[in-house]
Amino acid sequence: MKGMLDVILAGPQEADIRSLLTQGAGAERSAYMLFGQAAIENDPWTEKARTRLISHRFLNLDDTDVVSTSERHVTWQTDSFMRLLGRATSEGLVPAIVHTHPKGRARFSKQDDRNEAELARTALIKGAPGLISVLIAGDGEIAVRIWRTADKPTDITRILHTGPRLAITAKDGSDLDFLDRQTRLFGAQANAMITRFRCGIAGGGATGSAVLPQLMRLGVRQTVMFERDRAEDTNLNRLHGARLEDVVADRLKTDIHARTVSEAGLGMFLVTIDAWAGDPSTWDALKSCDVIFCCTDDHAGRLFLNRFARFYGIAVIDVGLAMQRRDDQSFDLFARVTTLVPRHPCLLCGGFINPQRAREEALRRNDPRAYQKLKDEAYVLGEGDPSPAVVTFTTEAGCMAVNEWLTGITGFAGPMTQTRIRRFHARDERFPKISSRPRCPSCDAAETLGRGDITPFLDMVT
Amino acid sequence: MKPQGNDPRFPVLIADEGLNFKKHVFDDPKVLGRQLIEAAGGHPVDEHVAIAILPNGDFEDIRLDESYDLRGRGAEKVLVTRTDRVFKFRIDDKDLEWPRACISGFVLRKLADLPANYNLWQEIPGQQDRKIADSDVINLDAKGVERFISLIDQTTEGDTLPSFDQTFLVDHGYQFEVIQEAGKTGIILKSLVLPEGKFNVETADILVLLPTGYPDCAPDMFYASPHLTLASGQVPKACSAQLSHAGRVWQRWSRHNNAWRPGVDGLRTMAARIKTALMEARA
Ligand SMILES: [Zn+2]
Ligand SMILES: [Zn+2]
Repeated sequence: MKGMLDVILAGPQEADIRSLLTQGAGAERSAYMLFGQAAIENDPWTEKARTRLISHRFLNLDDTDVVSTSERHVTWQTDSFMRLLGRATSEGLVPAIVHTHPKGRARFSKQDDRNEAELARTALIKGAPGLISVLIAGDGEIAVRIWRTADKPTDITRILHTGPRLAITAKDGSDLDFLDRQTRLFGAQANAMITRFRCGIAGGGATGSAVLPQLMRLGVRQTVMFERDRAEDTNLNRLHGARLEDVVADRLKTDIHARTVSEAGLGMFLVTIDAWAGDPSTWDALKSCDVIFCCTDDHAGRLFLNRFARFYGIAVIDVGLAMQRRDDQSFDLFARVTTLVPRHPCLLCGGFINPQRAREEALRRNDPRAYQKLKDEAYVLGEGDPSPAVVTFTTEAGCMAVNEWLTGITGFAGPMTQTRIRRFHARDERFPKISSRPRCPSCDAAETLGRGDITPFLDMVT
Repeated sequence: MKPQGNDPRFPVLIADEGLNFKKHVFDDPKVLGRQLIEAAGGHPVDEHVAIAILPNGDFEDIRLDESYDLRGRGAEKVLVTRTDRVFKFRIDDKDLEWPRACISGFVLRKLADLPANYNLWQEIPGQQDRKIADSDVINLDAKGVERFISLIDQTTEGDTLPSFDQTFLVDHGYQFEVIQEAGKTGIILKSLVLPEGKFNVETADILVLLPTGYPDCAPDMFYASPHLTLASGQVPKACSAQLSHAGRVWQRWSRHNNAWRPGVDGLRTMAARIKTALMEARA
């Protein structure tokens, strides 16, 4: 566990933590948790190592384990703690204890210090990388710390809360003058959260180039973009920031976006990575994000981020477009935004990824000859003609995605929706009902949520 | 542990049967087995044996009057143990015995005849199992040391194969190998038994290429080695193409996958499809 630590609390587990306050009915209450780990060797913005701890499981105590409890204390049998440690060490997870202060503040007491030091000592002897302690106070405030030695705990002050509502609890935060009009709408607290989000953008094409400048003007400080294509003349009808000379100079799309950000001078730190999101060289940067906008039109990248959101508890907001001219008189013009957060069905369950296409795209990248061979034998679907694209629709799709994120933080339209489909041709918006397939690893199986680093990465072939 | 500076003396770590290592220092670089036993307090000397523990965990007996050189063999660890008893233990379901109280992980592996990608674990009653490294020395005389369990090493194949496939293959007794070549991941199911009397051979290796995105993406087709012909001598339908992978030429079975449930199906499903395809093969 290297460098700065932060915690990601996924909605379902945060709800479980909060439920302890009611369960205790005014008396203190305790429980266990397991956290997955995301080890980041190289944070894209600081270039330092850091570690994120992601809530994975909440484990309530048996009533029979509770010895005594009052509004000032809770005492419980620790046999179950040994079982927790066994499970944590065999599965590579970090064990945690949770308790409530129904009448007090979210500050650890002297009693907590003594009690936890003892549990931490055993946890470390058993081979756990540390013991996390989560404390929730009656007013809903949450404090987290970790014992990596039995002597002294470390406070973890940055918490990313993910689910249909998004939030960041942190001490840092900047007050940006140019955001005055925005603060008037959303208020200082929500606005501070917006500026704290570390945003990833997978794909710097039509929608990605629309998302990036919006994030910049919303006050986002840290952004990372994944894109490896160069500007072509057929991009100029929709690629924000691109100039004719960029095509002549055969410039990378990421260089164009870096120029846009630097010329604006609004203080956004954009890191660009010349690779497809999903390539091993992008894993560290993806793990460093608080939200990822999936602005790619490829199925392979989408398939990857679909699992990634689940394993790392990082919200992915996916944008898709489908446009065609049906006949001389009519059009089909769709933009879709899907939010991948705990309790929302995934892109596979929604039928928004074609796994066969994803397989073919990956083959085309990794082994163009084998791909061509299969194509010649008519075993692949192939790419077909390029799909139509018009700047107003691609830009609006980018706006929809960013607004979905904003409502996640501010609640201006309630929580984020699972999937919305705007039908430009029908001037309406649809909210299709989608259900998770039972045991779907990307949206239903409990063992994948917040699992963090495992081998193989995401438990899939990458 | 070579002598330092101008100190002419030669240190060696000698363990008794309880595996307590103690440092002894000899003036002479060459010592007799007898001297090592005496140094460890082994009594009577002729009922004991001194065993050099090599860095890889291998054991090498030192006879009573054999002179042993303490310089530069990397074997400055010696075990002294009685020779008059046998110690019984089990590896998985195999009953074994060993004429010494102590045994190394390396020797245990040799006795168990473990493939390279397996690890050995020691079962400790009431506790979690302990993984045995080659250089570990285990005291068979200690209470409760009776059983060792072999387990396929998660890291070897674990790099590429999703966990539920690992479990399926191991639970169902498949012999398999994962090979990555030119960025492609392939799994070879070894010596799969073919439908009786159907083909020119009774068993074949079957290769499945796992695409990027597997298990959300379906594997397509499978490959056989050696090339299979029906008992009639004819080549089965849609099996005429070839593929080179892992240094072999494979026969491609062009059987496609239309009902894959992403992330739910895995090699379990694929194995069933392969068996069906082999069963139903026609010219
Ligand atoms: Zn407390
Ligand atoms: Zn799903």
